[in-house]
Amino acid sequence: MYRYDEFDLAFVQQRVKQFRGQVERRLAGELSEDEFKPLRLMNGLYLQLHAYMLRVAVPYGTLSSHQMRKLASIARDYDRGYGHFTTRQNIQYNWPQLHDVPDILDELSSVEMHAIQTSGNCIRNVTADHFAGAAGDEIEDPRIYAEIIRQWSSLHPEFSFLPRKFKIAITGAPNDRAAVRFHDIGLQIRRNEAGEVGFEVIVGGGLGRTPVIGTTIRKFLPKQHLLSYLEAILRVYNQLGRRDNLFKARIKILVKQTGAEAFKDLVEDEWLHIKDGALTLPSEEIAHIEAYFAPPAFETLEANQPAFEARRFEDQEFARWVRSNVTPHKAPGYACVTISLKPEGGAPGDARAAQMEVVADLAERLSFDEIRVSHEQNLVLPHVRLSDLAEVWETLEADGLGTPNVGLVSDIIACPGLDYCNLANARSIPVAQRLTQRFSDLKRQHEIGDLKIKISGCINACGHHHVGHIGILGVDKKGEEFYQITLGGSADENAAVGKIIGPAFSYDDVVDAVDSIVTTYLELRRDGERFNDTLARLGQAPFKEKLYAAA
Amino acid sequence: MSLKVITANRLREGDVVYLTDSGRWSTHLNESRTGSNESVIEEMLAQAGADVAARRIVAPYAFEVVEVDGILQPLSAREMIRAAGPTVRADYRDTASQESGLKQTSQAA
Repeated sequence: MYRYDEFDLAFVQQRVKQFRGQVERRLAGELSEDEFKPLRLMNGLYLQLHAYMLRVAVPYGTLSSHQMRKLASIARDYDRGYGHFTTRQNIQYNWPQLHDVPDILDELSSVEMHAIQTSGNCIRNVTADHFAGAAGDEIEDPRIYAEIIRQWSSLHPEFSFLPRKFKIAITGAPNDRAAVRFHDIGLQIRRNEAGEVGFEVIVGGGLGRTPVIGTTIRKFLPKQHLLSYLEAILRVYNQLGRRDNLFKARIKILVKQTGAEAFKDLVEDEWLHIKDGALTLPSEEIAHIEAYFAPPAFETLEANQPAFEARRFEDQEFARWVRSNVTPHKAPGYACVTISLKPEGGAPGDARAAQMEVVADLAERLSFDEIRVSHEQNLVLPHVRLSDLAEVWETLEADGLGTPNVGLVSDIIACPGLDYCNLANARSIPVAQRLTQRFSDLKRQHEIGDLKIKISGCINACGHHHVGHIGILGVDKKGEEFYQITLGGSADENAAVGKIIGPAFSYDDVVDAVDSIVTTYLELRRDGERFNDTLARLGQAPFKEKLYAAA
Repeated sequence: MSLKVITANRLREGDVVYLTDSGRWSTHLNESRTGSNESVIEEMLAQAGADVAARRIVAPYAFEVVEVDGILQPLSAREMIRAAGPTVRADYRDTASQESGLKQTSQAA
């Protein structure tokens, strides 16, 4: 894992001290709210529907057990005993008090954490594949480059006042688990014909009110040019991106209006000026960062672990959890464990302090001290021996963390929605809760198989509804909550934006509507056919027919 | 004209509060002072503005309510949730430590 050097540490501590002064001045009346607001947002502090909300960065979703324990103690000491893991691999506290926030930031800095780059019109915290460094299909660990980008982008003076927020995601594997085609910039690590490793550069993707699949503007960018090329893109955007209209300020609008080819030419022209300059990455520097992410000391193990296989054979519940929550690892005898934060009736992404501590203990003992936060609002123990899986499962089960539903219909992404968010039009979490109750039969869930439901409480699409196989968007109709359903979205390498199926449903009816769509799928699917395949083969008509038949 | 009340957040703690008849800020919607004409609401907002300047509260605004059997009820889902707390789990609403809240009691069904 990356460890702070003396610059990082001094910088973060200085920021905490600054913010302490700013809070004191605010409470003493020396700063007005208008003056204070941009300062608090630069430190991840929002004022939400009920209270302040603090968003803490989890860079590229990687945490140590020590850091997770600190997140737990903050939840207990300063909040209401729980935290909410987000689709950007961060954690949010929903009830901090303003006068406590400097102390919270102080505590975070003691474990090399902060809330910088979690808000405002800057380059946000970079996200990455949650199986980075563990996945069998990976070319290289994307976190090396995510960290390099972090060091370049943190308080980059030229890019601190962009037209709008700017999100970068990176994956090292061909199976995209980081949704790189739906970010302002997506980076996909590729190997070229000569066998060298570099990046495919994708620009202008995004969700929100205008969902756009990103365009590849460079098929292969050699590693040493990563930062100069990113800087060229950001410069073009910073100069030409719209500042007159909040809804048209993201880079996706600029790329659309300019045209992808013309945008690429602008970037390449700018790049010529700075290529091979100060931003060139020397291979020693890459190696220096790479060392922080060196693989842990895996034991040489047999790929086949008889005790594990026997348990799986004998214990159906264990086998079911393994089937949905355990993923192959690059090292023989190891596996990645996804810990579901989507129990039946639960709020997606929420974890109690005690649960965070259970995860921290397991990571420390059985996963080389590493934890990941996934953009699907689950936690991951990336490096677990197959022979330890039964113990991990039993421990998780005992604390409400053993739900065997990863990738299934109840593994729902949901934004905080109208229960917490100032911008929301409708609730998201209770819709997710009711859906998990409706689909509570695990046998049925496993029969349905891979099916992603994603829910947003407003058009800003924090719940990624556009890319759900079934997407649900909350809208406000004269103060009442309604839900629009889209079908056929996908966030992975088969990127697609879902299409609206018809008129919206009321809060009471939306669960039945989803149930009807799933039932239609089960009736019509051919062997092995996934939801989007059936939809592509038959179109929306049969789903629509059933859905609106009763109306 | 419709009935309106004034809400804001306490600056230091962030709690949702409502302007009362006595001019204090209460966490209970039902203790709100109501205004049914433009000039009263403006006067209430001016008072809120003074309390912003005095660093008691932040982000005040007026919203619509109805009175049913002596109880003030917001018209919008948003203000109902703001007044009552998140609807997601009953144990999230208390201000006390939530570690006892092991059982997830969904309010949604």
